[in-house]
Amino acid sequence: MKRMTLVLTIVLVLLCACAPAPADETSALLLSYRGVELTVGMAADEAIARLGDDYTVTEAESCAGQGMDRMYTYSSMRLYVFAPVEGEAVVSSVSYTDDGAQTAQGLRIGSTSSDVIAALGEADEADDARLIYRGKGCVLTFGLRDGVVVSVVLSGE
Amino acid sequence: MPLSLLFLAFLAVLLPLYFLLPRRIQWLILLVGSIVFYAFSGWQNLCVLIALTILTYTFGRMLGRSIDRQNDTLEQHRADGSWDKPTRKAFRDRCVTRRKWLLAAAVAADLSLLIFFKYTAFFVRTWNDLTGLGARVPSLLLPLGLSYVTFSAISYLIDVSRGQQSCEKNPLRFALFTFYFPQMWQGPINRYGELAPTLFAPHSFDGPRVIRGALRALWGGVKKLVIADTTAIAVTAIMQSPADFGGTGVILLVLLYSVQIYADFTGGMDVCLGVSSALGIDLYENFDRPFGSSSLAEYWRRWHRSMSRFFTDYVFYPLSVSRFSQKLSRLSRHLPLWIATLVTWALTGLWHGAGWNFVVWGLCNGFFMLISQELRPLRRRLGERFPRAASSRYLHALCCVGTFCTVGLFRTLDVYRGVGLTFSLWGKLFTPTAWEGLLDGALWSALDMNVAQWVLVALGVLLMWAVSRRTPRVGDTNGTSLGERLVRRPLLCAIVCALMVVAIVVFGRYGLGYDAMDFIYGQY
Amino acid sequence: MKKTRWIWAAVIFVMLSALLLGVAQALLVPHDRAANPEAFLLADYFEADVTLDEVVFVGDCEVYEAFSPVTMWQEYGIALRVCGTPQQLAWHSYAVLGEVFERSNPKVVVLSVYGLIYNEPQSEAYNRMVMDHLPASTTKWQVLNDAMTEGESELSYVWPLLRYHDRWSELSWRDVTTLFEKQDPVSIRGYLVQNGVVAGDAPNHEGALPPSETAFGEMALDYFDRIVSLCRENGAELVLIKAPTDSWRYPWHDEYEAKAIALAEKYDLPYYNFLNDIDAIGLDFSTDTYDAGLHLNVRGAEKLSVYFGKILKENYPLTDTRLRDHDCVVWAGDIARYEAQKREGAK
Repeated sequence: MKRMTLVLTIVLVLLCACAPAPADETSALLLSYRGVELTVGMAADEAIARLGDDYTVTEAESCAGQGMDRMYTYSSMRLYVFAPVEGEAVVSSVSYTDDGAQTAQGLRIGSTSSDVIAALGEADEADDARLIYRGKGCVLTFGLRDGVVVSVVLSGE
Repeated sequence: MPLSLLFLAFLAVLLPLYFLLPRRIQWLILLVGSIVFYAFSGWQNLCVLIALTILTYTFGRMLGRSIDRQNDTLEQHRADGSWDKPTRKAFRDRCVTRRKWLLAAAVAADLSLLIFFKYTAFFVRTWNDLTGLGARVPSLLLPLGLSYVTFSAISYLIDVSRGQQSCEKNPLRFALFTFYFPQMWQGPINRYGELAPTLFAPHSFDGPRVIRGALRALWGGVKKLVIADTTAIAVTAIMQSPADFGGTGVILLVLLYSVQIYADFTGGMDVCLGVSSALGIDLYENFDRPFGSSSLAEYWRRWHRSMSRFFTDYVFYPLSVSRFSQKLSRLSRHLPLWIATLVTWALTGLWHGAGWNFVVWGLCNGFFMLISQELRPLRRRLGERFPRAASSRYLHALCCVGTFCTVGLFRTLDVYRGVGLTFSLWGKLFTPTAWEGLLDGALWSALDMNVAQWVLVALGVLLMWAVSRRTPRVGDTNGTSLGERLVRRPLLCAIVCALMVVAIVVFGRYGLGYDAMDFIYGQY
Repeated sequence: MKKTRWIWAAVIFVMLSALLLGVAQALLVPHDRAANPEAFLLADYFEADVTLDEVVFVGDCEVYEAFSPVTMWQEYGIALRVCGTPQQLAWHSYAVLGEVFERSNPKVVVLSVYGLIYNEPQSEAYNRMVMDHLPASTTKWQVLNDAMTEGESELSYVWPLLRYHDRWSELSWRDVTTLFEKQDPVSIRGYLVQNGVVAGDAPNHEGALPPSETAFGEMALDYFDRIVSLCRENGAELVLIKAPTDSWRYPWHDEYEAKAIALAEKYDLPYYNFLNDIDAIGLDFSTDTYDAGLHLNVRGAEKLSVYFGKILKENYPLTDTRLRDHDCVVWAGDIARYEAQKREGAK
């Protein structure tokens, strides 16, 4: 019985040692605009179709023709899209341009840093100029000036 | 790792050490090498396998001691005549019952590891579906080879408890049984009694054997990296947009996924068995030209044979002869067989993957085989009525094609994953558009393969067929394998090896820009 | 007897494998320069006689699309070569400069600061455009370690077939014929002639994302420090420049400018931001850009070269190589190709 207890103890120790690290709890971060949830890497065509057609688009080729970058400008938001030479165009960044846009939690340009922390919790990185939240493959940055949000950008890592 | 440069470097170190150092420590070198190999998959995985090894070894020893004690006591009392027969029987029954409980605890302990890593997410998902709760689904990675090693360990425990296998007293020797590296990717599910004699025997360097092993491993690499992974392009395209391909997708999958999984699984096994053979250790042959089977039951005797054998010996037979089955047989003669078959196949499905699609896949196989079994008398009568047709080669070929299609159709459950989706697509098979789609150029271009890649796959299939035709059936001691024939002609052997190396390097799908295609059966 | 046959078999195996893999490598590693000229800019450099170069430009498209060596030579006699590649980052520039100093003894090295805004590897394709052309050296392997993106392997830089093998299914007849052709350089001394005209707005980065928090980061500055040391060890003056382009896609934020100025001051280096001199240069973004303002076309590059050539000539002890017959002969060939490419574009 003693030996059995010893063996089970060893096995338990081994299993504790190999206990899986907590699963990656970070999820993709989202920015809302007109009720559409936008995230980095989502299919651009789908996002644009749902956002409506009141946008202007600017397009630029990357240096060695690896793909096209497009900027869709809406009244209070810019949607940045990367269209590779082959494959589906995807959202690469989202940026609020004025207080006409707000996140699902009601955060917008003009909110305070305390509003942001109250809504999203402590930031992964913070200084006087920004609050940074990291999600799965993306980063949400609130630019600050005197404790007030002056920019909201969701971009790739 | 099996088809990586790191693995080649590992072999380049292991093989010289294995053959140059004293033969009495060969198995120890293999043990150290296997542990180092396994450690590459992560130290957490290493801990899991060590835990499994310790558990199985300890329970095995306890079971072995229980048998020894029982035999010693009975022998002693038989010698001094102090126990009469009923007393001896009562004692034996008590020992057997105790061992059954011990075995149950041992199997439960081994299985608990597998269940935790493989099925936790499945249970949570099912729980969420049933209750509507949103419990977090954990993402646990199944340690490399755990499915196969757990089943090998369980087979060892059952064999020891049945007295068919004496327990291993040396923990390091037992550790080699669980850690032996070639079995880690896709098995086979080994039996201790079969593997131990060759695993622990001293092996001297045997050039032709090493070359035969290398030839087989290279051929496995060609099948996996060239044929399977190229076919996977089209399979993935269908898998990602099932609605776009409709019934035509099912028809294509029956063909393409069969090619992919055959090349993938047999290719991986060829690498494992080839490497093991080069070390002088013969593993269980997992395939016996499965697509030459004329019925589903035969197919499962020839495909993944070690798994079929495990479920037959340790699940199906015990279930069939259990007291419960005997009681059921009073209701209907067929009932025990039906229940044993369906339970065995549901478990086989669950072993293949933690998802209801796999359970349904298993049940489909079970049902089909039972129906086939029930129709046997009718087939026999037809055979007697039309003896020439029954023995005709054409009928046999037709049965082989039918079996291939049935297996392929059931396997689409593995590709589409959703049971409802798969059944609805099966329904579309019987519409004209499904078959007209085969002539639709746009549909073919949506498969993401260019003409050169289709030609490569076609040539690959032809080559696999030709090689398979020249490979003797398992148990055929008169046949000579292609490897043996090639080894007799060194120059031809050199050319074939060079061509296979070039085929893997040039036509293989690996490197940047590719998702590393794991072995399909490596996930099970 | 049997042993001898096996030895022969081993020899045949090695030779046949090497032969077939060699042929495969020659065919499959991209070699058609016209198909992707940017990928062969450095190939031009390593095939040229560079011993007499006095000024070398390193950096990204802000050098190889913005400065015309022919114009600088014709105007000032500056023996100039551009060693730029797409998105050439600080570590790439350091590796390239190592080779430059092995082959020549330039008096001035001009570095585009735009690459310093990236502090980590960005693109495998752009890595290849530099690292595939560099000869094996300890510097190359050290830099490679920092330059590789996720999933890349060093081995594929030693044996490129491992990277390009998948081109087998896309091979064209041209891949075969170009193997046996002597291909012309894609550039004129590293400058890629762009004749097109697509009008753009004057440089501005309206709509650009905010400045990157990792710009002028630790790794980029570490390599910048190595570049400075390398130039000083070899007696070359280092000059920092920013091309006169700015856009939402490749923005030059005030924060970047401040960091570039601080860097130049820290190392006591000259820094020219041509965004401040657009009028002095005479750039007109309705005619001098081929892609709506991202890059200059040949017309814009010539204007910028005249402007910057004068600065170089006045501030550094550069030889007027127009006075040397040998140089004139060498340059005559480059000028002829340059004019031909301009004429071709004008058609």
